[in-house]
Order: sequence, then C-alpha cells, then structure tokens
Amino acid sequence: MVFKLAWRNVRRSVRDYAIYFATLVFGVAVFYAFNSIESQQLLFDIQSAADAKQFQTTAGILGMFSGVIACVLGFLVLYANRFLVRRRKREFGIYLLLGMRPSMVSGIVLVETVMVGLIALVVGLLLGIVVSQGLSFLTASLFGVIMNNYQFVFSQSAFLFTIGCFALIFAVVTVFNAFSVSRFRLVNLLQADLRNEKAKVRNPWVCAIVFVVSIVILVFAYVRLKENGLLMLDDPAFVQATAGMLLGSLLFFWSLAGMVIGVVSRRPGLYLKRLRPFTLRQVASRINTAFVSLWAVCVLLFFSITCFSCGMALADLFRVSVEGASPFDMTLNAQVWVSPTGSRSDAASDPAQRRVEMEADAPERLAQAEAADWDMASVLQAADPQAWTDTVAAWGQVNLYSAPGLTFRELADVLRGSGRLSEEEMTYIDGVSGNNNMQMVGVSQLNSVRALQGQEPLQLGESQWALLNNFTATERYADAMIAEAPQLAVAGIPLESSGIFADTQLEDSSMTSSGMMLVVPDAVVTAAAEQGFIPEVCYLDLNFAENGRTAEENINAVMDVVALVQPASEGGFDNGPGSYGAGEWAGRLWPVTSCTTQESMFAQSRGLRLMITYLALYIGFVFMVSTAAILAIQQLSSVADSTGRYRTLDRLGCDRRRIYGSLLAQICIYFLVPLGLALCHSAYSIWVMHDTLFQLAATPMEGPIASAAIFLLVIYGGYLAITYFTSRSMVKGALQTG
Amino acid sequence: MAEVFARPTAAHAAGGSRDALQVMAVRKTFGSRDNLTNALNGVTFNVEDGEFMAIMGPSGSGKTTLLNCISTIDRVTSGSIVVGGRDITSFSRGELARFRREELGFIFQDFNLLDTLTGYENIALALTIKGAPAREIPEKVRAMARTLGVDAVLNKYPYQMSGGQKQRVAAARAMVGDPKLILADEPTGALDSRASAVMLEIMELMNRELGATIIMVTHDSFAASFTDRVLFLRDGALFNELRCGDSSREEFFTRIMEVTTFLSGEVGHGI
Repeated sequence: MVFKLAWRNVRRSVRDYAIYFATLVFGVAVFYAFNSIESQQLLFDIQSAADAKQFQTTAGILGMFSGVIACVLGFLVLYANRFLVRRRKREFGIYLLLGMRPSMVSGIVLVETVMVGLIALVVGLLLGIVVSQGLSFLTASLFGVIMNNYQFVFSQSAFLFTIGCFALIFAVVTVFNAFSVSRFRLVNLLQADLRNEKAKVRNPWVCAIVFVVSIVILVFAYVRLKENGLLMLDDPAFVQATAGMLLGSLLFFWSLAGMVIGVVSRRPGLYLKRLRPFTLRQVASRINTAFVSLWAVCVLLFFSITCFSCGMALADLFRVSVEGASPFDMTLNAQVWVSPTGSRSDAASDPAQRRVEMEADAPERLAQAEAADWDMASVLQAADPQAWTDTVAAWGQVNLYSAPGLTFRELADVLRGSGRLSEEEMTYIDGVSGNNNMQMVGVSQLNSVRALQGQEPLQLGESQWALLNNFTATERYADAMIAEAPQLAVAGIPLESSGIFADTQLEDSSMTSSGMMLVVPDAVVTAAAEQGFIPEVCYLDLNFAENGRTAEENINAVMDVVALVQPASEGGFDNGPGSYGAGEWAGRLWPVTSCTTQESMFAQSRGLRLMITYLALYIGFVFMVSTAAILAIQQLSSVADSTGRYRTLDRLGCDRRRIYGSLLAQICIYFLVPLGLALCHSAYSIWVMHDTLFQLAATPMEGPIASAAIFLLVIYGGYLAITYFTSRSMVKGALQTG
Repeated sequence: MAEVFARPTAAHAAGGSRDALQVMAVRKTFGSRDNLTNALNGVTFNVEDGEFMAIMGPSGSGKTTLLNCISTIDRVTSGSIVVGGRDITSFSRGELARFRREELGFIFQDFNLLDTLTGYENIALALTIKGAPAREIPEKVRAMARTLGVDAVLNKYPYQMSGGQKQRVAAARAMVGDPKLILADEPTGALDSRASAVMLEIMELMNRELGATIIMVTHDSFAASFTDRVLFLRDGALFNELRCGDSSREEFFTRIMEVTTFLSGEVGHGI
C-alpha cells in the first residue's frame, strides 16, 4: 500500500517535482560525463607518455573537484526536498489524522524520494552517457588530435562513482525526511495553510542606512581588489576585498527591498499603477525572507560566471602562448648555484657574491664547470661520445649573466626622463624588479641559438648593446628602451645603443618569456667573469639527429647521457623530462638541473587547456544549475503559497493578462536581482584580472565573455522560463477552481 | 403568520429604471448528467438603487451560489442577471473582469486582504486595478478610510490589525471605487459580536450616507435586521421576503427570527 500511495503521489505532483527532477537529472548527467573523461583516452592515439600523463592529471583533478560538486548537489537535493515536504504538510496531516502511524508516513516519503531518485539516476546516467560522447569530441579538439576510430565509450568507474555519490546523497535525504516527518505536530500540519505568514517588513530608514553602508563596503572591497590585482591570494588586500564583498552583498540583500519600497512608495505617480504595489510587495517580502539564500545564490553565480569566463580565457592563453615558445627538440637547463637550500630567496642579493658562495658550498661542481668553461655540451659529449653523436645533430648554449652594475632601478631612472612611460608603469618596473640586475647574454652565444632555429645572426658592434624581448608583458618597456637608446655601462665598459631589437626564444618553455635581456659583446661577458660573476642559468638547446627514432626514444637517450655525469650521491634527477627539478639538490647539479622538451611543453599546454576548460565548464555548469534551481524552487513554492492572493486579485476584477504580467515581473526581478549583483562583481573582477593578468598576455576576453553570456542565457534563462510557465499554470489552475 | 408564505410579486421582476440589479429565472446546475443537483432553481428578484438587502437561508439553500453568480465568479446555467441595463451572463472573460472592477465591490467573510500589502495599499489596489490616475488615489483612499474609521491602521499590515479593522479595510476597498453594487458574503462571519455590530453600522452608514447598494449573504438574523429587506432561499428557490418598512430593528429582527425558526424547524421535521 505504501508503494501504491507513494507512486500515486509522485504521479500527481509531477508538476511540483518537475524542476527537482530536471535538476537531479542534469546533476547526475554532468557528474557522470566529467568523471568519465579518463576512459575517453581509448579514443585517441595518444602516443607519448607525456600526453597520457596530462590526461590522467586532468581526470584526477576533475575527480577531486567532484567531491566539492557532490556536496553542492547534495545540498541542492536536500533543499529542494525540504520544500517539497513542506508543501505537503497538510497531506501528511490527513494521513496522521486517519490513523496512519508516523513511521508509515515516513515510509511513504522514503519510497517517494527513492522512486524519484532512482528514475532521475537512470535518466541522468543515460543522458550522461550521451553527453560524454559529445565531450569526447570537445576533448579531441582541445587536445588537437583527430579522432579516426570513434567508438562508444562507457566508463564503468564513473558509472559506479556516480551511483555511489548519489546513493549517499539520497541516503542523507531519506534520514532527513524521516526525521522531519517524525517531528511534525498534527495541529501544525493541518493548519499549515491557515497560518498567516507574517510579512517581514523592515523599517525603511534603517534599510536606507544599511543600504548605503553596504554600498560603501562594496566600493571599499572593489578598491582593495584593484590594489591587489587578483594576483596574490594571500595578500591582506585580497582577504579584505573578499570579506568586504561577502559582507557588502549580504547587507545589500538585507536592505534592498525595504529601501526600494521606501523610496518608490513615497512617489504615488510611480507606485500606484495597476498591480505595481502588489508586485513590488510580493517580491520585497520574498527577498526579505530569503535574503540569505539570495546572497548565497549571488556568491555562487559570481563564482560560476567568473570561473567560466576566466577559465576559457586562461585555456586560450595556454593555446596561444605555447606557439613559438618551444622551438627546440629539447632544452637542458642548468640553474647555476641558486643557494645551498635551492631556494632563490635565500641566495645572496649581490650577484657578485654567488661565486664565493658556490665555492664554499659546492667546490667540486664549480671546479668542474670552470674546467669546462661552463660548456655543458662538452661535458655530456665526453661522457658518451657515441650516444651523443647518434642522438644530437646540433646544439647551442646561452649563459645568462646578471649585468654587473645595471639594475632595473637604474634603468628605470634612465627611462623616466624619456616621458615615454607613465609613472604607474615606472613604479611597476621599480616595484617588480627594482633591486635585480638586468640579465645579459653574449652576442655569439645568442647567435648560436638563433642559428639553431634558423634566424640570421645579429651584427653587434664592439661597444654596442641590443635588446632581447619576446615577453608580451614587458613589450612596452622594451619599446621605450629602444626608442630612448640610452648609453649604458656594463661591467665598467660603456656601451652605445645599436638600436637592434631581437625576439629570440632562448629555451623550450610553455610561453615566450625572455623579458628585457641585454645582448652585449662577448668582451663584456669576459669582463664580468673576470669580476667574479658566474652564469645564473645555462640553456643547452638540442635538435635531434635524423636517426629514425621517435622523439621519446631520443629524449631517453639524452637522459641516459645526462645520468652518466650526475653524481649518484645527489639523487633527485629522476623526475623525468618536463619536470622543473628545483629541489634541494638543484643548485648543486651542474651541468644539468632539469630539462624541458618540445613534446612535453606541447603536451603540458594541451593538458592544461583540457583541464582548465573542463573545470570551468564543470564548476560553471553545476553552480549555475544549482543556483537557478534554488531560485526556481523558491519561486514555485512562493506562488503555491500565494494562490489565494491571485484569486483575490481575480475577484477584484483584475485581468488575467495583468495577473500573469505581475507573476512574470516577480519572477524576473527575483531571478535578476542576485544575477545583477553577481554580474557586477564578476565584471569588475574580470576587468581587474584583465588589467593585471590577461592584458599582459594579450589574451582577448571577448570570446570567453560571449560564451559565458550564452551559457548564462541558456541555463539561467531556461530555468526562469520553466519557472514562469509552471507558476502560470499553477495560478491558472487556482483561478479556474475559483 | 401570513407573510411567512408570501411570495415575491411578479411586478418586481418587471423591473424599473431605478433597479441596480435584476435577477431573472436564474438556474444553476452542478454535476454530470447522471447526478444533477439544482443549486438554483429559477430565482427571480430585483434590487433597487440604494437598497440594503440580505439573502438568508439554511446551509445548502444556494445563497452563496447565487452571490457567486451575481459576482460573476460563477456562471449561470440559464436565466439572466442584469446590472445597469446589461446582461452580465453573456459577457466574455475579459468583460467580466472589467465588470467586476468597474461595477462591483466585494466584502468577504475571511476579508481576503492581501497580507503583503498595507491597509492603505489594499484600499488603493481597487483603484490602481481600474487604472485610476495615480494623483487622485491618495486623497480618495484617505477620505474613505476616514469615513469608515480605519485611518489609524492605514500603515499597518493585515496581521497587525484586529478582525474588525480588517473587515472595515475590506469595506473601504469595496467602496473606494464607487461601485454600483456591493456584494458581502457573511461579512460578520469571522467577527466577534462587538466587531460585528461595528461592521454592520459601517455597512448601514455606507448604505445611508454614501448611497451604496449592498447585497449581503448571511445566516445571522441579527446582521440581517440591519437591512431594508431580507430574501429567504430554500432548496435553490425563493421562499419568502421580508421588508423592514417602518418597523424598528428589534421588530424586524423578531420577524426574521420567526422565519428562520420556521425554516430550521421544517428542516428538522423533514429528516
């Protein structure tokens, strides 16, 4: 009997369940689809271990986020369920009145929950399997591979994970329901409808003051955020901005309705028009009672929109930046003497002292390097000449030195006179790297690396300097320096500007990031070495021989050679290609502390794109659906509670058209108020981030913003529309029964 | 006791120009073909302009159905109802809504005030729905509230008012639009005796001073004694009619009681 009753109840309240059900289905589908990404690997011919590793990392991180997502969905299900139970208090009251045991009523609710849950789970999983097929095409395009052997993918692990998570959620819901039903009091249940809802009304003056305070707090938060620039997340400015936004938004929702009503109702010409008083009062009473959930919705929406659009921009950034950033087959990297602990911040601030430090802490390494005149290739070649010749066709090395006697602050002083840069930009140079010396590279070494990537050699005079820059962020400063053409003194040698500007990439990297490097005659480097300067970093760029082996085999061959020259006692160089091995041992290991390969850089970029795009989609989608569903459920339950009011309006002779108009206005305002504030926050945050991060990388934001807007329009707008049509049919039903 | 059996004269139904409402041979049938219930079985009467009239009858006599038909909340099965010279039974839904807001005022047993609106806004709503110019509304609302003695609760919400205050605000909402006809469904049903008396005096005032035509459905003989005329319904048909004439309220009340006692006695014997 319990089953029959429960089934009838579910069928009868299909309308109440519609949004709940749809949201559950979406949740399950997306949950499955994003967790099934790992098994999409089957589809692609992923040849390198690097790509496979990126794939696994992405799947792993998505899996980690699934925990958070499951919590959000669990909260949503609980919340929706609470509304459904509350809506039916009277019905439960009648069951109890007819002598049903409370345990049996709990049983009915339990069976209903499980039934709806099971159906949603099945439908959601089916939908999820379809969606995951679609996602595999997206994966293919993000990964830049062509799918030539498409096959149906079913992920058993994602399937079981989804079922497990949702089973847990439903178990919690069931316990919660049984508990709340057992606590019902009969008289409250039966009189649930009669209970006159006390309209929450706030003093308009208090509201006005709180509203102004909330705006002040928000402005303060915005100012602090701008100062922080959204770069350092542990900066007190960021903490203050976050706290300010949260508090300001909360006060905003607390006071908004009272303030607006207070202002509008004092202007009869504006207020006393048709159903306006009714519409505004309805919305105001909703906002006043539900201000906390509106606040939560606003925060989640902000998160969703920002996450989505910035994620998309970031993904684009990785696609654009890797182009031209890895021109060599492989780069062996030597971080020369960072400090005994391997951390740069512990290193002596005076670059001239680095040789002294290294001699004290790692004398044998220094001796080896100086014996080879810092030439990495000669050391490696000597270790296994045959393997080296078989594997490496051509190489070039650059040593980056600190330019003796030329810090960025001194450069800033020179540039300040030119008037080409704003004071803000000057402060930026000064602030970021004021005490650091400019880096310099000898022209013949630079030319060897240029030759390796097919560029013409630079012709630099005996006492001239040129400038190397291919980092977008510092382009303005580079332009200014070339135009200003100052005379410089490096290592005591005066240099004139040659006016030459080079944009050579020096190593394999994830982005073009050679910023403001000075190119000097070889004599200057020799003079620096005589003054006790040692290189900061050495890059040995390799191009592989045409030996019929795959890139991966060649990389392994080079790694084997490198292993021969590493002191076994130090350990550490076992992280494989692609890892920047900056551990404690890094400073001690000359000639190689880490390596990067073209292949791993591309794979890394593809992997990051994949991961960021999917995270943005996943989080953006789930948060957006959750918030829209919460608003929809609240609106529907509010409409259900106020059908009597619509009946009164109808009896007073109000046209149906106007009643539905008022309903639409209420729903729109209720949906758009939190969205408005969230959009405001998002736009501002994106603008700040654009100024500090994306603009530096010259990433266009229009595309991501447009896709976020479409995303928003479809999901949020869709929920809004469903809510309106469902409420309209509820009101229509109420008016027809009279 | 002759008047107990008196029937309304046909002359009334012929109607005159002073009639606010003419109800002619109205039938209302509920249910399907197999199970028909005649809630109204050919009811005919007139209400003159400025009249205060009560409709009484035992439960199930059809008095609320009749009021619903007049208020156009429900449709008649046959017959016609003429208000201001127009037959409202042939109106479309849009015309009905317009008719309700332009020509009718309602007072309900459970007040039906909108609980999210203040007293002031509840009264003003009757005007804004009609599309009255906003600048005229505040003055009209205040004037009506003063007349009905609710100007002190204009800024309160329904949950802050007593039952009597709520009903008077509802009365002000019904009156403020200057309707042709005010329909009151058990207006004292949810009030205690003191609030009932105040409410009835208010309705008397609305009728006498403001010239409102009021039809009140009630089962309370005391409430009915405030009116000019009482119609008795039984089993969907007019059963009797009493006019106050020149008699005092107490006398009228006694006469009404006689009929209601007779009706309830008859119901008792019928079982």
